[in-house]
Amino acid sequence: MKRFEHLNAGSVDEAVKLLSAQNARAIAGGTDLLGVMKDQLLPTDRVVNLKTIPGLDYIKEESGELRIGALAKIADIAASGVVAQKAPALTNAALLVASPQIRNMGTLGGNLAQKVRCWYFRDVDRADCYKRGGGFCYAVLGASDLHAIFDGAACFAVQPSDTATALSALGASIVVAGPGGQKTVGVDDFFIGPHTDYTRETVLAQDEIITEVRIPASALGQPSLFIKAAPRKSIDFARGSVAVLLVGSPLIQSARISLGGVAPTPHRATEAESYLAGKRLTADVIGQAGTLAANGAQPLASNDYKVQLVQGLVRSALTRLAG
Amino acid sequence: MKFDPEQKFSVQWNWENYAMPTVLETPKWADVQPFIVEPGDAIGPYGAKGVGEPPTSPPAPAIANAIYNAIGVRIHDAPLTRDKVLAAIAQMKR
Repeated sequence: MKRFEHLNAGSVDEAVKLLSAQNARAIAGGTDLLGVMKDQLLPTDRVVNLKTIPGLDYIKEESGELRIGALAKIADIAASGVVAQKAPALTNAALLVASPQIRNMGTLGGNLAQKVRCWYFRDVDRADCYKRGGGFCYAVLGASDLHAIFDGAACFAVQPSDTATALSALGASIVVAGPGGQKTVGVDDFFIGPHTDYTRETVLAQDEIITEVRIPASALGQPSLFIKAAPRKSIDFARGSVAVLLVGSPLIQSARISLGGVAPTPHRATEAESYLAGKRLTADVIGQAGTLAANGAQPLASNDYKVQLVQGLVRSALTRLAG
Repeated sequence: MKFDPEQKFSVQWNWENYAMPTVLETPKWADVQPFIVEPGDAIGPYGAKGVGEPPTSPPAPAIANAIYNAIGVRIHDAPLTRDKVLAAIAQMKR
């Protein structure tokens, strides 16, 4: 590993200042950044430790919203009674992140801001990949099993965060701190696809950090669910995942469906969402919603299976919510 | 092992993508019936026989046979993952 400078931030403002130096990176749990540094995927000269910022690991209800500090551990979110009661999709997602060891280290902010898991991006020898600053994508003609079926362009790596998928369906927003102060961004705007900028996955600039995640009152206590498909029952990143939030029962007023692991950002299945509004969850409706969820998919050479995977995941999630 | 068909190199070069089964993938103990066969090995000391490697050989062909029995397609490419089975079913329907 290359030499780097390690600095502890005592406050959000200090972290933002320290991150303005060349090739500075924020670290909290370190479960993603250390792998990135070890493989020298991104130049890193300075590491700014956020764990030393006090009081940023809360999970609380405030102003009708559920607010979670960026330093809250994935394991604490998975075990939180208030999260399970108010936003069960996030509990499901947190429990399915990686392994117990990683959930004990990893934070919510880090889970949202992690880099992609594309096997070409992560391969030390593929420095000409778009995301590494090059001008090539190996997945287009190569092995695209892990890659996007929606919204790909230039780069086809997928959003790996399970919590991002759940929070997208829950309509959450993310509080970002930077040199200009704080701003609040909706989850669906926080993640950016390759059409906007293929070198990064989120709106975060180098000197900006996530401080808080807010789940709005409109989602709290409503039925929601997250499920994921992966080669193994634990550890693996999602080949595909879905989070669903339903408002209204038995007649659905509105539905939010977000797909993970199949697009460069959490992908809202908007056609399925509008189809479900005003309907009851019968077997026919569930079947049709699954079909609509895969509309617009453009598989690469070896990820055709994800089309059926998405349809099956959406149908399974809706069936469970109906039961 | 998964290879890049264009550039001819392995894309499964770490334990993240070359996934080994974990304890959660093993069957429930109640579903496993061990049969201990004790014929004695003529080569091993005092008739002892190694038990480390022999169990690793039969499962792959057994699973391949089970898939053949279920859907009538032979898959010759381990591991026999769900996406390969799905592709084989699609091939068969054509």
